Amino acid sequence: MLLSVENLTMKFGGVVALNQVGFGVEEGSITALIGPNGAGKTTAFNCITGFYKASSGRLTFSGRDQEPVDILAILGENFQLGDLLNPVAFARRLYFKMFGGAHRVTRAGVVRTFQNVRLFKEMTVMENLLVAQRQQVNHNLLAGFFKSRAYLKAEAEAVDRGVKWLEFFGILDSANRLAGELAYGDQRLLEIARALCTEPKLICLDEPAAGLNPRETELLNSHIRQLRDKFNITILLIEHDMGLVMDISDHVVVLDHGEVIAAGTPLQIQNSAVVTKAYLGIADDEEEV
Amino acid sequence: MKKAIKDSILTGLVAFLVFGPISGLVLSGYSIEVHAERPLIMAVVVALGRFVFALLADSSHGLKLSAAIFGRRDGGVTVASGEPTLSPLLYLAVFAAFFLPFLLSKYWLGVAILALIYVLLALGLNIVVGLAGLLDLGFVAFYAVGAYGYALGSQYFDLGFWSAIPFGAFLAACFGMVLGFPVLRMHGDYLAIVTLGFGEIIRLVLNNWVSFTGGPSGVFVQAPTLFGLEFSRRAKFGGEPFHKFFDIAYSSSYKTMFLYFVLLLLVVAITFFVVRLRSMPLGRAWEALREDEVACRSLGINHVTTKLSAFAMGAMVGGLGGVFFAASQGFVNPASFTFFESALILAIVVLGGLGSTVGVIVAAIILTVFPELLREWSQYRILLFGVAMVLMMVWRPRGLVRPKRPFFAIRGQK
Repeated sequence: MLLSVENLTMKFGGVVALNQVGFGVEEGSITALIGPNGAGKTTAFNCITGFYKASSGRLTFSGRDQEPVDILAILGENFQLGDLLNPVAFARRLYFKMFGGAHRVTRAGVVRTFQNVRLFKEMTVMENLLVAQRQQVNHNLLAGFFKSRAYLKAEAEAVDRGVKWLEFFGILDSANRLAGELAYGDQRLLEIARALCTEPKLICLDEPAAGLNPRETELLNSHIRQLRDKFNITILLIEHDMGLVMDISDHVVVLDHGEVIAAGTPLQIQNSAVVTKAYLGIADDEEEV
Repeated sequence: MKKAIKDSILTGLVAFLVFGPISGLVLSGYSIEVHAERPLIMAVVVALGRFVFALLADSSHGLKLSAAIFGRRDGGVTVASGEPTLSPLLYLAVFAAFFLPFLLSKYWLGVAILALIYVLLALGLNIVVGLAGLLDLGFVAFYAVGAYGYALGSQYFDLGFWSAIPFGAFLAACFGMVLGFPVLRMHGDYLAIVTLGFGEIIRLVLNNWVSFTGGPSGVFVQAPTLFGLEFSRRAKFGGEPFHKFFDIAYSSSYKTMFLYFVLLLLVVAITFFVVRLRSMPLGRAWEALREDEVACRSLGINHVTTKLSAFAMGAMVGGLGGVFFAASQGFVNPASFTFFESALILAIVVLGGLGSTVGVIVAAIILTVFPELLREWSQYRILLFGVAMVLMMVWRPRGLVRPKRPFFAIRGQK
């Protein structure tokens, strides 16, 4: 299991957005998270990628061949009484309190895109991709100042990596255009390309097909498949386009009112009465009235 | 034509209403005299003016003129063409700057030093506001920290000019971090208010901590030396005076010239550094942070350290400006570090073009040298300043120099 979500609960004051949610993402799979509006899909995404600190639960990511990462720990947990006796645990918590956050999750190998495209609009497409390669470039200020050989090499490699992803998405011609000038569909692709530049193991796509026309959706469909098959990147996506979801996903998790109501293969989900009810709100609800 | 007449009548009416109470009613003793003819004349003049203006504006020449004035709203960001853009003119300007001290009088050299100090300040603020997008209205605080770092350092620890440069820069960078921590979560207006407060706090502390800073009466600064050579007529600190060592006649402008050269070298170095920084990962991260903080976090950029580094780096450059200010004045007091200075530095950065290094440098020089040139009209200085601001916003909303993005050559493409 690449990512395992156990008993994930997220409360905003009195509102329980997620209640004991549990599911897993298999390595090399395409997992879809679906559910009606307000079901808590994006909240779950925000918890997984570290933009929200989950109220309770466990998020374990065992990506890069290293020991599993506890996502909640690297976001900076609250101190506990036991920390007074255990200086190591205290130091760990303090460290992540100071330097932890969503960026740590990305560095561990989980990256995300956004429902409403968030590009660096006044920077060029290539710059967008270079910003994302924080871990791969040379950060030494002196090396950059004197343009040392190692620095130049790292920069050139970063550009090449950017070119690779632009080529993959077929927007290489726009490399030196401003990101904000691109057509909407290309902006969506660029956002995915930018996320891929962080060299993730798991990419979380938040409604990647929103606002795309059928042809673009078809193209996106094939891109997502290739990401899994060619580049061995695992995909977790939220999507309302059921055609796309049923077509490409290996595993579907259905959320409703902050709870997992069904999980399984697309076929199982299509035939599930609970899911139909959640989406259309029929059957025994009406009998009770 | 019909519209012109209608317009002018309407304008005349409004003018009559406005001028009526102001010039039509005259207070004499306890009664009010009505002089209706005065506003009437004014209204007629205004209406006629409007009529002529409307006729001219509708003619082909007028249309061309207004198009030339208001049509150029090309303020957007552009991408560099890929060819080297550093014009030889720029090298020439730097080269010429090194010969300036031999041509200028001591007074104008002092102005040149001030201009270079403002270049430093503007470069520093440009990092914070232009690159990282953190609106800082209290930048003068770091200027003060640098200046007082040198002044108090020389008073209490016998700190010399050369050690004051790194010390002042370091101290200002630390203060930048101190300011950075509480404002990490703030954006835009809120950030501006907090930084404004910070600037005032520094000034008030300097003003009121009389036992340490000397309060409003200020601190004297140890004069700068060159390898132990002093620039005073007689050696005050046991060294040898500069003119004695080289066996030349004493002149009080040696010190100014010396400061100018050191400052110029530093400005060139810092400019070079800032230009390089923009194409380095850190500079890119700053600009990305300005564009979208949430996206930055999602890409593995630690927004906390990135913001702090922008504050520290900007403050450091500002602190350097402060050290040179203290050295050139020989005396510092809190009156030099008011909010007006912050506003001026911010105006320089905005006029020059947020994020544009060349633009900011040009704007800094213009805004410090022109007020000196226009000494006779010093009453109108702020007025001219305001007019310049408004015109800039009309013609070039993005500043003197448009922001330009770097071009990346891609293999297999031209």
